Amino acid sequence: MDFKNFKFKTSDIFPEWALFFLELGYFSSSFAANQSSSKEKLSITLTVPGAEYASALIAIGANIEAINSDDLLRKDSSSSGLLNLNSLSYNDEVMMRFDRLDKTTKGYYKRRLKKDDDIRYFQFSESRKATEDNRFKEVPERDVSKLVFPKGTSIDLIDLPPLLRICCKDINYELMLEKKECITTLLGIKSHAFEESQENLFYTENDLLVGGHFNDIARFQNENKLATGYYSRIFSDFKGASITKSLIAMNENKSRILILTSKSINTLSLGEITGEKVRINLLDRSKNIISLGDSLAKINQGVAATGGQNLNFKDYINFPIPNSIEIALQTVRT
Amino acid sequence: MITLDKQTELYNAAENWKLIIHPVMFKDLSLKYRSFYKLRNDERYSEDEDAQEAFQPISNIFSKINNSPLPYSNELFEIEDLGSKLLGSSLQNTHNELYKILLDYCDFFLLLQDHDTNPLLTILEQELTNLITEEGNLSNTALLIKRSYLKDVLLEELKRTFKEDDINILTHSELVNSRTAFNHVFSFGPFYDLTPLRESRVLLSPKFSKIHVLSNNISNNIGLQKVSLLSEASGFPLAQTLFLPEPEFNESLEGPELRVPSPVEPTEDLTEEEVIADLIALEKAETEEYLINEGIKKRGERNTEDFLVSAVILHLNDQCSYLVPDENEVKYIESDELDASKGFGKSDVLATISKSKPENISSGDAILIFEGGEGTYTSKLSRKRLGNKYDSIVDSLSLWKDKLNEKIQAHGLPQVSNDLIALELNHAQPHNIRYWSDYELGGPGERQDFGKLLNYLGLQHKLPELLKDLVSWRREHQKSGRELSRKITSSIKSHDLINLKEEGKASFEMQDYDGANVTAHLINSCEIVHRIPLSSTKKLIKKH
Repeated sequence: MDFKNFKFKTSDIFPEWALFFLELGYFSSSFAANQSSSKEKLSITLTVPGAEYASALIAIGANIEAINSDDLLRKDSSSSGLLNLNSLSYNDEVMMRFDRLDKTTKGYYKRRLKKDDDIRYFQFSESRKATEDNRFKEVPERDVSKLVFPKGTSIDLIDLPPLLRICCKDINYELMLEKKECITTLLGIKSHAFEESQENLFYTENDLLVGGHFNDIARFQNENKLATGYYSRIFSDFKGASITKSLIAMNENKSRILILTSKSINTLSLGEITGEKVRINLLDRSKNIISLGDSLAKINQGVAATGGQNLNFKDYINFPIPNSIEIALQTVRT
Repeated sequence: MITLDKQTELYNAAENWKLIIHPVMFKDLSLKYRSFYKLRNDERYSEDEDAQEAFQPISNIFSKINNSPLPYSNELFEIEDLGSKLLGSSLQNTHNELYKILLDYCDFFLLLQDHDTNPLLTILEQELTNLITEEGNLSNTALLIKRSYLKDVLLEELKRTFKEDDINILTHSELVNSRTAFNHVFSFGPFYDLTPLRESRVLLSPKFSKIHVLSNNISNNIGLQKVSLLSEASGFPLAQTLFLPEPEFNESLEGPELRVPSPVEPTEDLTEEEVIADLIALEKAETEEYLINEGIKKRGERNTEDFLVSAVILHLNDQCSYLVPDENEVKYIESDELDASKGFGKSDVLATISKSKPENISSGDAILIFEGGEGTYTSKLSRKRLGNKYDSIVDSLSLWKDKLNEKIQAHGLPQVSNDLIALELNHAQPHNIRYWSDYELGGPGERQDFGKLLNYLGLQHKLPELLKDLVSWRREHQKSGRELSRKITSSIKSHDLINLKEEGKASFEMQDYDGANVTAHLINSCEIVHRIPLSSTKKLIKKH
């Protein structure tokens, strides 16, 4: 995958450090897929000058790999989008953006038009019933796939940021909708990495905020047909219930990659059976140095206790590593 | 959460920073410094408590001289007081030879004080002047200090020369937590103090393009490679290591010649291990002096009736400190929670409050301090809930507490303690007796211990009813403690924490509880200190 054309919504430059995390995610997902029957997991230890955005970018990279390596999703790469234009009937409900309302909302298909410019337009209305002229919107046929979505499509999916549009451009949206995990994946990452909505990876449970350090990159299976689930979950309370809950969730969702920060490394030891194939120990060097030292010691203890070994990172990593980042690779037997 | 652009700026800084050393060759100071190290570690004195105590004020001055770009006449160095501290000690009678040697150090510091100009300050002022010429102002420059109490004095000193300029003075923690990278940072003192060898993160997460190290007696080999975390030493031999620059050495500035007599003690160069051990010892002495100056400890005080504990001193962002016994748990908000609060905007979610022993608290976290002490409020909550029933429980407790206080009045706390320990009440240390004698607090936890106490007080015949009331009191206080915790938690919303990192302090009024306040103080640095009177802990100490 060539990430060089990637851009953030707010900047034309995609920095080297961000590219590294994307590449690392891509590599981790690919490695995890090839390790499905192995009894070893890969432990990647990173020390970085600042860890913000890192786990989100790793998650994006991981999922670009997962989506791109899924033949089912690539089956019809010429897909025109989510909406089947040929089956649209009068007053069919869709999701779309109305400029007058300045938001994405329900719309209703009315009719096809052909104007003087010889272009075919599709006309939609804000209302199922007859209404004022300014509540109609005419969308050129070529833009329908980008602007009009089937009934019930999540607003998050409609508003995908440019980076994710690029990684999805060859992907069949319709099949993605069927394959819930991919959609929830994209939504979760989007919310975390780009802060485009008030929703982020924090959520409330029994009126208490759950949020913090533990980022579980899991294939979050949502039993509900609607794509409202989030891919990544974060926990800050490492006592009792929440850590158990996260471990159960990892098991149910067959998490392949787990990112832990310094404090969580001290809670979930490498030797513990957590199911993932790649564990990324993400140590922010601006955090408490004693805690960083403890984490490094714990990682080494885990490797030694499970009969793991040090690996030469050059045998595995073939993409550029910014020289502000330290990286070490080890194996752990599970 | 910081913006992508800011994050990119910080990565750029981490990949391109430069290290510029400004050496000062102050021969007389260097000789004296090394001779003092040898003297302090001399086998005649290393185990001698009196001698070590006499070394402390001198260590304190050396530690400050290491780290302070202030004129030597500044009262912060406390040179004036050194003579009287030596005179006031019993050293003259017990260690006459050592006393005379230490007087030489006293004379040396007085000479230094007369000389006044600190070469570190000379270099700093010159560099700042150049920067103003090149960059127009000092907005992208910061001065890095080791101790927060240096901030005001240093600012005052620099304002004499740079009246119109805003000068950023930051502690290590403030620099590391900074969300922007400075063009220039000036650090004073030994290079080791910036490295993980001295538990500093400054070079691990550089928030600057250039760091200038202004230091006395700095050598060419500064051991920069030891900054890396993933190294052979830490068990990661195949790691890519992080960017570390080649240090640039500026021309050294010669310190003044003070014409002091040659030191009596040998003065060969110290090894790296010795230098680091020395820096730790000097800093410890500086902390001790700080505690003495603040009235937390008394000089030479060893056996008071007060119970001595190990405690963690939390240096707070607003020039205050807070001491917590290392066995006590405290409530605090983690640094990551403070960072995360930025993401909540106006939402009304509750902040996550952590509770742990103080050694687990890091700089960048915020401690929650309950004004007036939690104990008082748990009593009030219990009284509010139980009304007259609570008064009758307290009356029951007062019955034996009155007797205990009479005993303390008559015989003194140490004697009461000894008497009770002789009765096999092994927990009867002075601090526990003080707790039991407090009318707002409880009594011994075990039935048989309480029985022994009542026996001592002549109330053994009342054990059943007094024990029942003590158990009721404890149960109600635990219930009130939980209620108080809920009130504290429900009073602090995540969005209230947004500015805590910048402002260093935030107050919260407790819901449904008039006049009760919880204050969150951002922690600058923490260190463990020993032999602290228990009664001096859990108080907010304001630096004068």
